[in-house]
Amino acid sequence: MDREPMTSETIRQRQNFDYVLKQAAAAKVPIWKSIWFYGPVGIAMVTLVVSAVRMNPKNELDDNKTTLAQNNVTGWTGSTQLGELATIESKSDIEDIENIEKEYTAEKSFEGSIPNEIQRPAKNEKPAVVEDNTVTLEENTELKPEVLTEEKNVADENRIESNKTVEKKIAAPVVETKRETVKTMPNVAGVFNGRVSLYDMCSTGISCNNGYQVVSYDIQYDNGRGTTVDRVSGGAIPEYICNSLRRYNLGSPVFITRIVAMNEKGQTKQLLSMQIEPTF
Amino acid sequence: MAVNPIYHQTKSTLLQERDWISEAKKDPEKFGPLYTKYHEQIFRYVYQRMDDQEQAFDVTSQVFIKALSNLHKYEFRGVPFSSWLYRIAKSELYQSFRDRKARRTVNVDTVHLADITEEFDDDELLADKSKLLKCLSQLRENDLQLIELRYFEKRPYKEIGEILDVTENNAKVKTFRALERLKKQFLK
Repeated sequence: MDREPMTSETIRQRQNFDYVLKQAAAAKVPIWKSIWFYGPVGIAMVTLVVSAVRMNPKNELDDNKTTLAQNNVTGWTGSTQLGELATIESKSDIEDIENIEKEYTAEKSFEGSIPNEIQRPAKNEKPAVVEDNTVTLEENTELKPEVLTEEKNVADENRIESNKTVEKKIAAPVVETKRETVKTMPNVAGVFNGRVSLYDMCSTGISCNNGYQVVSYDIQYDNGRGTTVDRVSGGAIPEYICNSLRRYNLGSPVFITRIVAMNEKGQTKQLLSMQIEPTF
Repeated sequence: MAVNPIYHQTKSTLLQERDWISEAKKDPEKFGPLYTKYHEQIFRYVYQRMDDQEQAFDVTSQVFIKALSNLHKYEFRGVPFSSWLYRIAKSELYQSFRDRKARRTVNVDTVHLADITEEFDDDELLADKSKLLKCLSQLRENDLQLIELRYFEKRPYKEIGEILDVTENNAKVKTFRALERLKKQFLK
């Protein structure tokens, strides 16, 4: 009852607008603390994570990609590209025709990447000193499975010596160093995919490693009347084909497909197709 | 009957207030004129309902802090800004009572009690002030608030309506009914 009234002056003295400003600023909830922030951002994050997990093909690739080292089968590649090819092949056996188709597709993707520096070796040239970064192959003897270590980023020349020690130097400088093991692979004078001298090609024919001998193959070449495909029995290249190759196919790609090989036990398998470029 | 002089504003002052508000929405420091204008009014409203002077200042500050923080939600509707501040003050007061920081009180001047009893049309009742105070304490909060606003604070019905978020006529009717209930209680 009848409380002593406060004067306006007393009340005015207690005004403190700065305090109100500070407190109001402190009371403001930052946007990232508000519930309106967490809703949309949370949903966006979940969406991103889910889409990243679902769309990332890396996991799928990792499952399918099997290096030759995992297969633990040895062989000689004959070219640097083969090593790369091997890494993207399926882990299942190469024997499966389906896989061969897959591998053929992969092989085609490397066609354009053969280094131009790979040159025909001089026939009379004696084998150079075997360096750390070269691969040596006895071609007269049957190709023996072996673990191949390719040291890239090295040589500037690729040398192959038929009937003798074959040296191969990888011309294109590559940064990575790979250790790969290769399965049964066909080759012409040690080359799976690339340039081969016509002499080597016709004298050695198509051979393969891992204890297999080529029993038949298809060869697609230009016989002067157009492109033709011949089915050849055995691993040798017939003389009439060699003549056509010499006349019409020097510097042009020749495709060797449906290569069937057999081992001592009589087991047959279809090998990877090759693309060879006969040179003089 | 006395009238709150601050409440009665011309159209131009209302428009000026609207400008202050729109500027304060962009820059909180522009809220200063509104604070200066309404601080005393809001403080008196708060202090009327509690005993502790310091708590009343605290609650008043809290009212302006809330107002400034939520100024972006405010929409000008042609009524004084104070009506919005009163609603915030009412909310803050009840919050304060709930937190038991303050006690609900009714500060009454003897002179104002006479105004009520005048409405009763019975001069004999004038003497019994203590009974009237007892009856006031027994009133419901809504009725007490209407009596308080109209007879102790001398506010116009229009302002009461804006504070309580009802129409002027509704405020008048409600106040009349509250007074009737007080009278009934008093005459028991």
